[in-house]
Amino acid sequence: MKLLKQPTAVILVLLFAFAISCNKDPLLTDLKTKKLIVVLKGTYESNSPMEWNMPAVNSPEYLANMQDDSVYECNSTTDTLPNVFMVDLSEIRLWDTRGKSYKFANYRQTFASSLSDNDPMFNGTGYPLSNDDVPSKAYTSIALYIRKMLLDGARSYTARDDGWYPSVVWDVFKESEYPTFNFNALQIHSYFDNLRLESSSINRVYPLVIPINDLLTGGAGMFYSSKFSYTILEIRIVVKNFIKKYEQKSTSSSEYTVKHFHALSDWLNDVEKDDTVIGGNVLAVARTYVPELVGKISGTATAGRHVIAIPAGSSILNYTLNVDPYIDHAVTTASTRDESMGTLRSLNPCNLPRKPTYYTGTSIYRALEYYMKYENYKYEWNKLVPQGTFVYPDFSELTTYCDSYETFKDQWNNYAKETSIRNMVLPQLAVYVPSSGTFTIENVMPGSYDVYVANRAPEYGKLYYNHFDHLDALNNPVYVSEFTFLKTVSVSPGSVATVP
Amino acid sequence: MLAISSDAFTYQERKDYFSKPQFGGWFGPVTPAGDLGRRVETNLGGGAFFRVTFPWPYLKFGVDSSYQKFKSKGVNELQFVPVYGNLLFQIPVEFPVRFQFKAGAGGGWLSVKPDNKNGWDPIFMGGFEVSFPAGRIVNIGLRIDYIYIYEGYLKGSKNGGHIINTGIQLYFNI
Repeated sequence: MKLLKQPTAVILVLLFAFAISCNKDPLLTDLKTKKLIVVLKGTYESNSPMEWNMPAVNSPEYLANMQDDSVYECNSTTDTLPNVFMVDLSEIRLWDTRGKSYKFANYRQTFASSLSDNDPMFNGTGYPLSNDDVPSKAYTSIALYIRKMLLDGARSYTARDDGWYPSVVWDVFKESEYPTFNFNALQIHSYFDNLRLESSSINRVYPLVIPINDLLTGGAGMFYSSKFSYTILEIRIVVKNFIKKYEQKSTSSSEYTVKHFHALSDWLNDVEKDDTVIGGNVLAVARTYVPELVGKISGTATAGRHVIAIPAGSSILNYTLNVDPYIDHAVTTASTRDESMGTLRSLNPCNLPRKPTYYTGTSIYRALEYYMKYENYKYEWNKLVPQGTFVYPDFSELTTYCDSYETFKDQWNNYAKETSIRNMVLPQLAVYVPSSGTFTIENVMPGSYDVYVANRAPEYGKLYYNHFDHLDALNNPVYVSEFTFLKTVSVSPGSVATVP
Repeated sequence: MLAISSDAFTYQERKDYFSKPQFGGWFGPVTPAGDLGRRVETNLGGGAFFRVTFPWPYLKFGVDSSYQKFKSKGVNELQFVPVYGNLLFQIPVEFPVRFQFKAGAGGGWLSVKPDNKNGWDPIFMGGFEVSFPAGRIVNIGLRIDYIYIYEGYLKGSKNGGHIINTGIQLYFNI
């Protein structure tokens, strides 16, 4: 029986351990419980989005706003409007303040949304994503690893003697083929990334990094705490009323073909004809809110306008894009942009031509055409980057040559500064005022906000600009936004702040 | 008669070695099952144990502990240190290998990420072992254990945890 004393002692110790095993929290349930809900929306607005407003095919508005100026080769009018937006996310990560990334949503997720006002992607509700929780702390940004983005309505046109012959373009989504086109592959680079030395390391969509500028952290990130029963992280990518049609040439087929496809609007980074990339145009914003803390901002404003709320005291000019800086200020004193002066981009002296892609087919005609394009490319390039003393007859048109890497860098930096494309952010809170004229911004975290209303109705495929107003004493241009200040409101949990 | 008695003698002697106090260790794959299996993934784990035999030679009492860390492709992680006592019942059939069933209870220390919380939970276990004697001192064995982590007594609990441990073990008669 002496032998049994040891086990008896051990049993007593174990029973004691059993008795003190009084967790406050059920740990395994915590492991499973999701307190951070990530929601993906395809709208500019945080709630109450405006209705779909795609112009009818070949209508004047379609040709002006939906058809990009990159469409010039093929004039076929048989294109159709897109109906379905598909996105394939391979994972999502959160980056903390020290740059460490948290693989909190290492799940591949695919969404196919009909381009209708009822789809959760476009009705203001959003799609909930699959994810786990993250440790309670501050995070600066969220990274979406976008594998694919597709839109239907893409067509390939083959040139024949008697016109263009269309055929449907097929692409793979979720391991099946659909009559659609993956434009995400073209979003990796923006037009001038190709000419940068580090271009091979640039990828604008894998991941797409979206800073989270929450009011709670002073615009420096988000704060997540597991003490709240839920925290909603809302990610919005502007897709609704922000789709355009582009054109690209095929370089592999023996026949002469061009492709028409739909992708996100090139409002921010203009796409020109012959461009092979459309990157830099995924406009996204993220914010978090805790449902038990939120209030509302409600009020009346002109129907059919956007109302936005930004942190009190911040500059409205950060939420809009400066109008064409390469046009003489005297010209832009008119409050609308003069399209005939050219685009922002085409007037940049370092907007260098793109080298035509090698033709790899077997047609002699297409091969000759490639050589002609190549000669033309050399001519255009030498105009902008003169070599030696050779002077072209039309050199007088140019005032600045792009004759060094320094100039190239300076010109594009200058362009970015004056257009503010690198600084522009989307407002975290935005609504579209319905015909009743009464709007409500839902799920507003406590704090002080400046509420603005747009002074014009939204235009298809475009967001908002600033306009040149005057030159200050130091000859610097002063801009005014297309948003008009309404009121500063203070929101507290459960309250409704009214405007005006 | 002689044959029977000599048979009985050898039986007695082998039994004696296995009836000595034993200690040893094991390692092998540790697998979360059920709901837990959807949060974290299989990993390698290992542990140590100590056993004494009751006056009845087919019944042993053992104390077992191990360290098991379950990771995932994402942020989820579970560290689990069970400490339990168990009774081992050896099938009383004469065989060159020994089969033992076991059942027990104790406590388990859990640490979960991303919530960064930890604490003790009661656990229950059942298992099965096959042992091969390798001389008078060494035993080599295979084991499979099922561990249930009980959290039902906690407010807000929705599920417990199921873990299956399999491993090879080496232990000594001392």
